[in-house]
This record gives sequence, C-alpha cells and structure tokens, in this order.
Amino acid sequence: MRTITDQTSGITINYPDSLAFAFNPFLVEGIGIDTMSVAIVVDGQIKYIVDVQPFGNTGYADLQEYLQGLFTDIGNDIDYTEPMSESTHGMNVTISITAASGENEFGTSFTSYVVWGAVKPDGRDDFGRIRHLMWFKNYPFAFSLYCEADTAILFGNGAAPSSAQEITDEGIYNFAASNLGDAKYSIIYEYAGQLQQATFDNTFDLTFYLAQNVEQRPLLRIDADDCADEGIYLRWVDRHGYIAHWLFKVGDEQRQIAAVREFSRNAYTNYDTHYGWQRGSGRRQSMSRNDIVPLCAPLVTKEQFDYLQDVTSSPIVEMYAGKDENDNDRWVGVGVQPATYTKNRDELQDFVFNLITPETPIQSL
Amino acid sequence: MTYEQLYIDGVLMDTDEKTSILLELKSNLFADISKMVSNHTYTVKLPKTVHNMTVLGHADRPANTSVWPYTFHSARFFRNGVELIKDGRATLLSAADSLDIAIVWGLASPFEKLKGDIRLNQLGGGESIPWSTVNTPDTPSAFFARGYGYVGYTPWINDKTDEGWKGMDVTHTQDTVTAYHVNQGYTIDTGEKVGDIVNLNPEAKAGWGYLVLPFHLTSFVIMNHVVGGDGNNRLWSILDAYDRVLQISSASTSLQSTLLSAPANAAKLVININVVASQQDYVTMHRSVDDMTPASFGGQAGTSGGKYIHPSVSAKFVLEKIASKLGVTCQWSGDEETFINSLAIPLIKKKANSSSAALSANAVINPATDMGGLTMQVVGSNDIFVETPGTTVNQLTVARDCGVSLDVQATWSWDASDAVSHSSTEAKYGGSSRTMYQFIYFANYIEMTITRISGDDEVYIIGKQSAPSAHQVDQYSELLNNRFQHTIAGYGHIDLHAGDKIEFELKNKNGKLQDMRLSDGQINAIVDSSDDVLKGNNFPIVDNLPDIKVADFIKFLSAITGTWPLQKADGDTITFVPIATLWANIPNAVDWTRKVIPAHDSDKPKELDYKMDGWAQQNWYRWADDDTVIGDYDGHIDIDDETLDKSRDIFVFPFAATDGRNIPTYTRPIAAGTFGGSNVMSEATTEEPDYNECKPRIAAVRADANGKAELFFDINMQTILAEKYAHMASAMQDVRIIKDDVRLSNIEILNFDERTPVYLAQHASYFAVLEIKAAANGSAEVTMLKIK
Repeated sequence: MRTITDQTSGITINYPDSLAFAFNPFLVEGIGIDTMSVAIVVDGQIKYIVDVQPFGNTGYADLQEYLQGLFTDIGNDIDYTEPMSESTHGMNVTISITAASGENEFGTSFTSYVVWGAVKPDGRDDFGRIRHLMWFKNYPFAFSLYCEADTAILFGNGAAPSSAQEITDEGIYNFAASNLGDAKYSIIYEYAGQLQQATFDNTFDLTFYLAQNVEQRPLLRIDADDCADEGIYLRWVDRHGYIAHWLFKVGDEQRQIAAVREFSRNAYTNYDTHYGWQRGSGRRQSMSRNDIVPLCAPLVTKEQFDYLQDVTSSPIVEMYAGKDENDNDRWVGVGVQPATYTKNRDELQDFVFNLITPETPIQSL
Repeated sequence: MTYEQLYIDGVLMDTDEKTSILLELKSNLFADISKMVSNHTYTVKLPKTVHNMTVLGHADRPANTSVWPYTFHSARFFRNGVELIKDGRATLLSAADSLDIAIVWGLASPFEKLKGDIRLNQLGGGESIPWSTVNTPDTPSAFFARGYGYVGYTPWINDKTDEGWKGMDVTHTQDTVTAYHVNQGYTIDTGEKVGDIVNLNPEAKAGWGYLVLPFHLTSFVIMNHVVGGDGNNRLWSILDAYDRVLQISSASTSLQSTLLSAPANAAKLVININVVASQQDYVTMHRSVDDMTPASFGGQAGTSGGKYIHPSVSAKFVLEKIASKLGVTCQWSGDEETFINSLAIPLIKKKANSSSAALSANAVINPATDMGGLTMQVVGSNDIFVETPGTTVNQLTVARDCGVSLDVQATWSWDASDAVSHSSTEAKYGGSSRTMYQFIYFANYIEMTITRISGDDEVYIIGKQSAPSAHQVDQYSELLNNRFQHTIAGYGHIDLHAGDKIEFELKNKNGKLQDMRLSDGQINAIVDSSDDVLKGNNFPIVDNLPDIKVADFIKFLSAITGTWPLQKADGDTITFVPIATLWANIPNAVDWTRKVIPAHDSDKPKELDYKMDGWAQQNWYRWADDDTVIGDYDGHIDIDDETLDKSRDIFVFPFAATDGRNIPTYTRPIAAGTFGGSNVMSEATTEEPDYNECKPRIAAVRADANGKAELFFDINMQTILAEKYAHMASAMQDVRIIKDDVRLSNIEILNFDERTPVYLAQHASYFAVLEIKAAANGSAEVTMLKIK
C-alpha cells in the first residue's frame, strides 16, 4: 500500500502498490475527505468513474471488479514460435483521484501494473518465488515470467547462463522453448541491471559477461522430458496469470447419457393400423451425452503438486488436439469436474483429477 | 444440444445453465386494439461473470456512475445459428444472484417510439397557410400534393333558433312570373326530413337537374309534370335562412300542376328534377314582393363559398410527419392505403403561434419636392403587399385579407426666409417685453386613398387637413435655419382586402409653399394578432392538429381499415394487414398435425378455453362523444355468448363522427333585415360569427361539382365491421382456443407468419396462431384460435 498526503487540504489517499492483482482487493481509500471521485484510465481514456461518499471523512472504493473487466483478451492464444511476447494477462492502469475537503480540492493519480490473477491472502504466496516447470519436449511449450523494467533475463543451459534477453518495460512476458538449451534442465535468472559485455560479446554465449555488483537471482527451474508422448496434454492459466502446461496420464473414460425428453405422437395417421393400434411405435426420445476422463500426474513433487493444483481451479483449461493441415496447433476448451483434493506429506505423490470433455452433439427430434 | 448466443450492444454475453431464454411471440390479431403487444422474452438470467458485468458497465455496483440500467440496449439472439431476435431491445431489470434482463422485439422497437405522450399537434414543423374569413378550396389533387390546404365543408352550428313570435305585413307590388330551367347534369341535397341542415353544393349526376331559388312569403311555385328522386335528392324542399328544411316532398314524388306556397320564414326552394322521366325541366315562380334586404339572405350557405372554413390536413401528411419526427413508418397497402390516403382532418382549433402572428410590412415614401402623388418602395420584410421590396411604385397592392394597424409618418419643411410675418404680439416678462411674430399659412398633409376592389374609395388624412378657418400658425422662434419643419402622422386600424390599392398624395389647400421638401416618409403595417388566428394571419398547420396521441391515431386508422399490425417489423416500418387476409390464406395453411407433442393419451388438445380475454357480448367501436353530431355512426360486434359481460367499449375513437359535411365550428350571425316593408331577421353579412371548438373530426375528401375538394363523412363503423370484420366476428361466435406443445424448429419460429393459418388433423380444423412460447428444447407451447 502506498500513501500520499496533501498538506493544504489535509487529505490522505491510501492506494495500492505498483504491482497489483485484479482478483485481490484494489482499495483506494480517502481520509479527511468530503467527496472523492475515482476514475480508471486506460490508454488515456476514462473507462469508469466511481463516486465515493465518506462516512466520518473516510471512504474507500474497491476497484477490483472494474480492473477484471479491463482484461478483454484473456486466453492461451500464444505463438509458440515467437521467442518473447508480451502477455495479455497484465496491463498498466492509471487511477485518477479527485478528492475535496471543504473548499480544498486535491487531485492525484497513480499507476499500477495489474496482473490478471490473485495471490493468497495469507501473505505467503510469493509471486516472485522460484518455480519448477516441466518441459514435455514433444509438445508445444512456453513459460511466463513477470519482469521488472530495465532488467535482463538470463537463460541457463543447465545452471550456467547461456543467452540473455533485455527487458525495458515492466510486464508479464511469454518465452518460447527456443530460448532453452539442450541440457536436461535449465535455470532462468533475473539480472537486475544493464548487461555489460567484457572481452567477448554474447554472440556465442554468456560465459564471459561482466560480473557487476548487481543482484542475479534464479526465477525458474525447467526440467526437460523428451520421452513422454502419451496422454492428454493440457495448458491453463494459473492463479498468477502465468501460462502452464502438463502432460497427464489417462484413466478409464465414463460416458454419461441423459434424457432430454421423451414423448409419443397422437396424430392417428402416424400409425399403421392394419395390425391394430400400436401406440409404442409412436414413442420418441432425445438424449444428451457427456464424457469424463480421469487424468493423473504420477509422483510429482510437493511444489509441482501445487503447480498442478491450479489446473483444477483455472477458468481457462485447454486440451492439445494435435496439429491441423497447416501444421498449426489445435487446442480444445475443456472443463474440470469439481472435487476435493488431498495433498499428503509424502515427498512424491500422484495428482489425480477428472476432465470433462465438451458435450457430444447428438441428433434430437 | 442447443447453442444459444445472446448479443447485447453487439457483445456476446456469457450464459450458464440457468440462462433459459423463453421466447413469447404474440399475434395482435384478436387482441383488444387498444392493447397492442410486442414479442418478448421471459426474464433472462445472465450469470454475474466479469465479462457480463463489464458489458453492463458494472451496473451492479451502487457507487458506479454507469447509466446502463436506464437505457435500452440492442439485443440479438441466435439459437443454433438462427437469428431469432434481430432488432431486440434489452433492459436490465435487476442485479441479484444473476443479472435479470428482459428483451422485447418485433413490433416493440417501432411501436415503443409511438407510445408515450407525443401528440399529433407536437409533431412540429413550420407549415402554415394564409387564412381569411373566405378561403377558396383547393382541388383534391393540389390538396393531397401539398398535404394540407383548404377543403370545403359547412362550418355552421345547427343551433336551435327561437326567434320568438313575429308579426309581418308585406306590401304587394306587381306580380312577376319567371320560368326557371334546371341546371342539367347535377343534383343537390334536399335533406331527408324536416330539420335537416342541407349542404347546397351540387353533385354531378347525369339525367338530372337542380335549382336553388329565393323563396319568400307571398311567393309561390307551380310545378307541372316533374319527377323527383328519393333519399337526399327529393323533388323539392323549402329551407329557412339557416338552410334548414322547413318542408320537404316525399320520396320519388311525381307532381302534376302543383302549387307550392312559401311559409312565412322561408328563404330558399331547392328542386331536383329527373329530366329523363319528367315532361318539363322547369318550374314557374310567382313573385309579388321586392327582394329581401339585405339581399344576401341565406348567402352563406353551401361549401363552395369557403366562408369560415379552416385548413384541413391529409391523413397521409400526418403519417409522413410521424415518420420524419418519430422515425416510424406505418404501412398499409391496397384498398386500405387508398382509403387512408383519401382522409383529411379539418383543423378545428385555430391557435396562433409566433410564425402566424408576426406579420408586417414596411415601406418608405420617397422624398418629394412637388405636391401630388407620392412614390414609395417596400423595404425589408413584407407579408402584406404584392410589391417587391426595393422597387419604386406609385401605389401599394394588398396581397391578403387582413386587419392591420397602419402607422404613416413623414416630415416636411418650407423656406420662410422671404416670408413676412402676418402679425405680432407683445408679451410682458417681469417688466421687460418681447415681441412675438406669427406666420399663418396652410399646412401640407398626405391623403391616403384606399381603392377597394369593390370600387369604393376610402380616404384617410395623414397630418391635418386644413379647413379655411384652421390655418397653421407658427412662431418666428420656431424657425430652424429659416425653415418651418413639421412631422405629420396618421395611425389607425384598417381592414384590408386582397387586391385593395393604397395611394398617397401630398396636398395643400392653397398650392405649394416655397422650397417645400418632404422627407423621412415611413409606412409601417402590422397585421392584427391574438392567441387565435385572425383574418390575414398564417394558419399554423401542425400546431392545430387535434390533441390526440400518435399511438391512438395509428390505432384508429387500424380500426377503421380493419387491419392489424404484423409482429415482423421491417426495421422501423409497421406493416398493417387486413384481418380478412388470415381467412384468405386458408388454402395456404401449414399442416402442423405431426408436429404436435400430445399432452394426453388421446387426440385432445392440452388445454381448451372458450373465452377470448377482453371481449363482451356487445363490443363497441365508438366515435368520440360530440353533442353536435345527430347521426349514429358507432358499430358493435355481437357475440352470442351469454356467459360474457353484457357490453364493453373496445375502442373509443379519438375523433367524433360527422354529419355529412358539417364541421360545426361557427354560429351564423343574425341581423335585422327588411322584406316587403316588414322587419325580419336575416343572416348578417358584416358581423363576425361566434367560434366554438367541436371534437376533432376526420372525413374523406372528394371533388365537388366545381372540381374543388370537399369533405364528406362516410365512415359508419357498423358498415366497416360488417365488411372488414365479418370473418373475425363469426370466429368470435364460438370461441375455441387451444394450447398444445408443438415441435417447432428455430427456422419455423423465425419464419412464423401470423397471416398463415395452421391446420391440425387431430382437431380437423384451421387455427390462427395467437401466441408461441418457444423454449430452448425445440418444443413450443402454441395458443391457437379455431377459425374454421
């Protein structure tokens, strides 16, 4: 939370940090105000205005739903061939505040980078914590990172950085698998400063970059699996707005058939009356069908279990459906059956859930 | 499996399993005409997703300043790819666990625009037309081309006139005998019974002839071998000064050597002769008294005179106004369109507005140095004179009948340097004295002559017309640069008539004064104005239309044409089709036999009703109540069902009916006259008649014998019901309304046409579809009325 106080009017405005989440409270609080008007500005255009009437000179507005509505381009529609692309799951939003106390008016504005995601309210959900991903090399893969302005991302081949990507603007970026080397794992670092070359440039790799007195911290560990090719490959958006992928093992399918309606005909001309009146032949029915597929990620670590857990609550889950005739990836939206999940204290455990495939169209009358 | 897509303001909305969109399609065919309804959905529950709330402008938050809930929003609805709702209007009803939306479509979007309180006289537009006490009717084609104008009718109120008892003594003179031959090729109204007011406007009719003769006490007529007609064209009728029938012949009279004497209060004799069947085509009139004074006795009768008629407006013009102002086009076709296009609304009110009253003209009198006729030119705005502004003319010609306030001013001077004072007087000022010198001469004045179109001249003096005893006396002290300078003026109210000419002449009793100069001459004329339109004012058209709601006007047209509005609105066009269309379409009926989903194990309908909401045993279509209307033009549909209420007014029209051509708006003034030396009452020609507003009227326009437009009222609702509502009335006799579930595809719902009946073999009958409730699962509850 940030605070600004106007000496003339005595108005204090408390407002969110420069990094905010659209599904957490986004409170703008005015203290010592008679009225306050909060405008949400995107790309220089006012989108909404919220009037705040204080009680005892204090009032607040929670803008989270307005911010949620600003994300009109949510989805996994990323280009896996683009080495780096800006994610649509974050944006800069300017909040413009006009408050009045008596005859004094105070106007201010601030900008937050808003992520289409949420953090747990217990404060232990570290947005910048090191994550552990799995790269199934037979499937399309990309990973998301939140990067601060004027930094660089170093991609390791193994633990040693081998290439770099400079970041000028704050934001969430999607990085393609092409940034990663052939090693069994890769560590991705954030380098907080301008990357400077020493004797050699980075034409070949980053073996000889100048070590300055700046922080270089690991963000990700990506393990590569180039064998697995059977199962259902899903991708989803996790709670932090990042894109996630996993190849699951498939269990036995269940097929639910339900009756839509059943009826008979009463126009007598419908029936062959030569052998007596056979009502039954006039009975008609209409059905609907749903398929449910159990999926499993066997023996994942506790960290990976948490990572996979987001697939069961993500609003956007898609199933890989191969490539079309133009060699483009095809993805199908799927649902997850609501359930209760148990995470035990074992180091390695299975993660199991039920996938609901789209309703199967059937003829009806 | 059903794919449903709801777009609001062009954005696809999120839906969930609770979002059931139940469509209700309505036909207005048998509905109470005053309650036309639109297609609508039952409440649609949209989930409160972030996306939905964003589209709705976060209207679920009280602190939000969004106006979303207070406006209508465009809605489109697709079911399995079929656009079932095209031009819907969505409203947010409430935001609770879900967002509750309602959508109306079909007739709704155009009809909603007609609803509300917009009235005919609020449709706006600057149309106006010059009005006078006498207005020449237009030809029908000119009237309909313009959309408004003058249509002949009788404006007189048929008041009871109790003149009290009168004694009369008439001095006879030499008896004169005149044979009058009929005007062939026409008939004229004679009325049908004593007390009728007749309209003396001939109608073309081959083989017939008519006469209208002055017919006073002591006159008598001899009719020999003549045959008359029936109805309104009797052989003869005697009228009083109000054109009211005093005596009348019986129908189809044939007379031989009959003598007809004038009653004491007679004024006119009206005769129709069937010249083919009769041996003679003339009558012989005996007179032994001088003509009535004033001679115009009864002269205001008839419509061709155009006295005191107000402008009329065609119904089509009003419909076009509605289209341009409200953006809704109402469309009839065929006979109904022709009928509506023949209707006109005579303007009963005569309210002035700013454009009608602010009429004026200004002219300057050119400077002159000689006596005699003055020249002038019109300057600036000119609503009164024929002359073009800026052209020097010798006289002004009046363009319209009007009362004006005329203000004429001019300045003139003469050189007195060589003049010698006629006298002097001495005045004492506190001990000292002063000598005053006086100049006595004849002053200049301007004579304004109005030459009436009738040939009479009227002279008005501007300044002072010096009599020999009234010389102008000026003091020496009043000399300005050795000149005496005068401003002369004249002001007053004058009645002008179109064609009158106004001339100005500078005069002096004694000739011309030395170095006389006239300058600064001005003429200002302002036409009389008040809250009412006065003679010479422009008559505002739209402002004087009846105070009737636009929706009521449209419903009225729908009622008198026996049409109903289709739900399938094409943009903002409402199409009206005749009720009979449904019956005419029976050969094209669709067979829904195998589409019915039975509710019982038998071939009976799911539900059967025997009553139509809102109908009684006697269902009245009434004209607005107006005491001045004598005839009965209301109509009723009778339903032989004693379980219904006795009687009900289905629709009371916003207009009153009209007797013939009589729009009773003025009371004829009566003045004393003389006849044969005796004092009698007669119609006054100079007095203004009293104006009384009657209920709004509407009537058809046709050409009279002179080719001019005249009103005639021929809208007897009982006749219209018999002609246009006959099918509907017979279907209402034994009402059988069934409800059944019918399997209708989305395409069938989309293409559903109220004009097409439905055949059901289960019931071996034809039905009109009144209502379809279409759910997502493909079955629809359909309400149908048995029509055959």
